Amino acid sequence: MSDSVSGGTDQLFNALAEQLKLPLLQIARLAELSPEVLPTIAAISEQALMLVDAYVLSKQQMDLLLEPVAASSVLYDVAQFIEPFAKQSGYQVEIDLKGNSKPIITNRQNLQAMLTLLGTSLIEAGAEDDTAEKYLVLGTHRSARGTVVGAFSNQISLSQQAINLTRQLHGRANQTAPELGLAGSARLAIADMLSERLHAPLKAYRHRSMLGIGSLLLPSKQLILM
Amino acid sequence: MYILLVEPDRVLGQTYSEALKKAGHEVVWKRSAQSALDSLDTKLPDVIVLELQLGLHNGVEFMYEMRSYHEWQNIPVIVHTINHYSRSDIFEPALKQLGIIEVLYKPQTSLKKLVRAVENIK
Repeated sequence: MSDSVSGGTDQLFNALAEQLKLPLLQIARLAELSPEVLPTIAAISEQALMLVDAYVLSKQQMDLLLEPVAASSVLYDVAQFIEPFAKQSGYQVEIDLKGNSKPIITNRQNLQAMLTLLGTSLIEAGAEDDTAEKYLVLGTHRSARGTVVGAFSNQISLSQQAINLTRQLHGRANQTAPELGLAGSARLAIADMLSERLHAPLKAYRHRSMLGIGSLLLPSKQLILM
Repeated sequence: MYILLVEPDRVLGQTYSEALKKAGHEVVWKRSAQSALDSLDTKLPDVIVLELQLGLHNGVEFMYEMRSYHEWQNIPVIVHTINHYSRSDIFEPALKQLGIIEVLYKPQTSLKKLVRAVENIK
């Protein structure tokens, strides 16, 4: 491994370790405070594990197995995983499949991890506002070139700039997207790495009246014919 | 004591608030530098517990802004941060110049230690 490659890897690992401190700290302090908060501890532990797992997924060297996947089934799994965390933050999770949603060609595990990271980062970023009804929409809609699959919120409007900044600064700055905060920026960065592996880079999209982040995935020709 | 807690993280904010309240203190918790400054206008705290790594403005900016007002120059501040740079030889003296009483590194600061640090200010 050349010096520059190993330096880059070290930088990424350092950044990851930095980001991991927060959820682990949350667990430790909550546990210290009271044994009555076990459900919260469980939800946070899940988030921390998911973050590590997603990072490991994003760094895997082997080629991804791409297969026809029903986006709706991935979204249901993501919604189920996110639900306890969303409830704690006062969010309702909705699934919205717009248009004739055909199966897409992707890697299910990577897509699921990517959408979970996007969803949780939006929830966390909007958790402070207790005044309004808060929705996280996991949705798909058709575009001319395929199907957009993403996470959208009525609380946080993310621009393409947030994604671009995250790409440029990840590993060098702790909080690359101020709208998302510290943990959300890390999640976005790892989601971006996963989307690259899927050959479907993250972009800002509008879904209904909400802005969010998603990937454009190609339809599965094989299943369309069936 | 009346404590202004400036902590951007929701879970940590709730946890630290609860721990300080359990120890018998009154706590107002703010998640951003701006809302913390707004809070100072309402009531002066006996101590501020401050995370440096905030959202749009960082804790050092908050300190400079706060210390620029005469009536807020003597409020004791404890920095309680996840940022390990705050422990550096360069950074810590700079924080002291801003009238910071103590710098606590969160991963090494238990709730008991935080409460103790706050109560030492009395």
